[in-house]
Amino acid sequence: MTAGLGDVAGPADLAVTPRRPSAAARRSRNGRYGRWLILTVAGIYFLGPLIAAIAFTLKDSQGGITFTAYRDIFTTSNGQTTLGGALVYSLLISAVTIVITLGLMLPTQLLVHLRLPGWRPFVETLTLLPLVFPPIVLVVGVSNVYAWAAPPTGAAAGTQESAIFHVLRFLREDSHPLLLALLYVILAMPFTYRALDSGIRAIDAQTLSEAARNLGAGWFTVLFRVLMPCLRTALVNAAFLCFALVMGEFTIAAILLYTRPFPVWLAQLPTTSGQVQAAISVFSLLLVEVILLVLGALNVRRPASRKE
Amino acid sequence: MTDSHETGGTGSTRSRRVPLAWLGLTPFLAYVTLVFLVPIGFILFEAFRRTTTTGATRDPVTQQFVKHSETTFTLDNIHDSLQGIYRTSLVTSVKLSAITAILGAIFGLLLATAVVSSSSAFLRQVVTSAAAVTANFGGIPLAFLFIATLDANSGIVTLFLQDHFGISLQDDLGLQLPELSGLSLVYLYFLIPLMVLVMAPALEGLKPQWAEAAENLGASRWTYWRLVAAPVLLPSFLGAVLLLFCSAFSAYATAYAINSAFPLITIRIDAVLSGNVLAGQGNLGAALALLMIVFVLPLTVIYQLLQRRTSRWLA
Repeated sequence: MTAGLGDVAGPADLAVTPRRPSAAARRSRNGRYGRWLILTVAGIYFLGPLIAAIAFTLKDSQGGITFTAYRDIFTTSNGQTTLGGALVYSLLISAVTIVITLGLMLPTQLLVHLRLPGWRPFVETLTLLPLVFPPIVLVVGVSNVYAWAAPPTGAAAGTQESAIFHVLRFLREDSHPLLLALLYVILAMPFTYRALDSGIRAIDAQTLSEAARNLGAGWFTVLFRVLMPCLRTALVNAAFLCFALVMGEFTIAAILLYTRPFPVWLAQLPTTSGQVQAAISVFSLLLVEVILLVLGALNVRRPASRKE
Repeated sequence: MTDSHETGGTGSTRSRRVPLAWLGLTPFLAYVTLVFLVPIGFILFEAFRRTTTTGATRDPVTQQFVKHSETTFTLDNIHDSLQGIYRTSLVTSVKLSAITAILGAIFGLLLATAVVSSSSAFLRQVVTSAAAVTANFGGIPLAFLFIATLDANSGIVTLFLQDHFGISLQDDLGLQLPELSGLSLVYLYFLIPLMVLVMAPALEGLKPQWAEAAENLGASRWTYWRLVAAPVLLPSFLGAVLLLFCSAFSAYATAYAINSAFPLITIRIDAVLSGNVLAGQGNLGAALALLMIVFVLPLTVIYQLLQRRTSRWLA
């Protein structure tokens, strides 16, 4: 309605005082040139490196075109593993991260929403705290705990280890990097909390769960057959946030000396494989873009189909 | 008191329920405590402790055996973390973050304004979703994108300018990828989209009626921006600058992949830990981490306060 009023006011102005609208028109034309200038510069800056990197991957030393980088993508190794191994490793970590995140956060947030609203500010603040402490700070803390629990350097081989160190070493082991997943749950928490929270707020969880309880459903049924189906968009969003974080996280994984997570693998490729590194970088960006667009489409479609 | 039977009944179910509900939070609280609060607490603790084998030396200890060492509370780590190379890297980190935060805020605001004021819904959709991807596109792949583009020896743009225009990116334009200028350019690649994401909702919150009202009262476009839009946007803008600063300040992977010897505090922390969690320099690392917290914590708190203030006008 306000837009309609604005539309009417424009032409009316034009009819009564011809000078002002012409100034306004000039201004808006200037505005449009300014806008296109800004958008063009931004386009060059943001697309330029992508195009240049693609060109870089296709260039051979004689100035011709070659596809060797794309042939080598699957065989180049950082001495530990190849692309396939790195991706599987990171996918496993992200799967564990997603399971822990949903298993921990969803019941907690539903509980706070339904039963303990007074605790909300406290829980919310706790989930936001990881934003204040950058990953590198967290990993310093973890290595300090590790060093504190570890037996003194140079101690005889038979010295008994503390139970804490035993657990830590088990968690850190290269074959099942649970330590990384545990830490990534924390890093993702500010984002997963908000994703789940907006989902829980959007549905009437109170009424839904009370209705289901009145009809004789147990809490298990309420959670898995009533609330979770309603929250699937929020769950998918939270899972994607975990996935994106795990696929990109380098700091913690590298400092804790893992070699097989995807970003670490990419960084540790031999210096001769610059083209492969550029090719994989471009594709990882495009892949994330595609996933985001698909998720965006899902998010748009769901409410529309519910309205029908 | 009169219907004590009934209240007693509900009271007892409630008193049975409330502790149970409260207990439901324990997994979450235990998890956050063990995986997050304890490691952070260790930083605060270890930053003020040092293990020495010889009481006199202040050098970070490179001990082979620590059997006869003693651990004491001291300010030495904090003192050392503000000296020499650590001081340089802190200063460089702050400089890089400040430059990129301010430039990113200005360019991001321009871009956000251009997009929000556009009538094309398609353009808005594309830019917003691209910004969402790019803002999170830090790290290693970003570094390789720019290395392929601007590397001094083999970068596509470097060679293009050299071959076709005879211009040297490094000497004539002063753009060195592994230095402050180049890293700033790289950081802007994810900071500008972040700014767009933060400012776009605020700009959309500017009601067209305000502009119309101002114009009806005879205000020029400039007056409107200066007296109406700017004051409303200011908290949001300042908050965004702080957010960008923290984001740049905490970044590690991108700079590390481009120039692992560049003096940044994050890269220095990595060097101190040197990947070896058992090496004896954890205390100095803790002191450096504490230094980072001292910068980021107040800025984040101010950012949250500014955001709250923003929401008063731009609901």
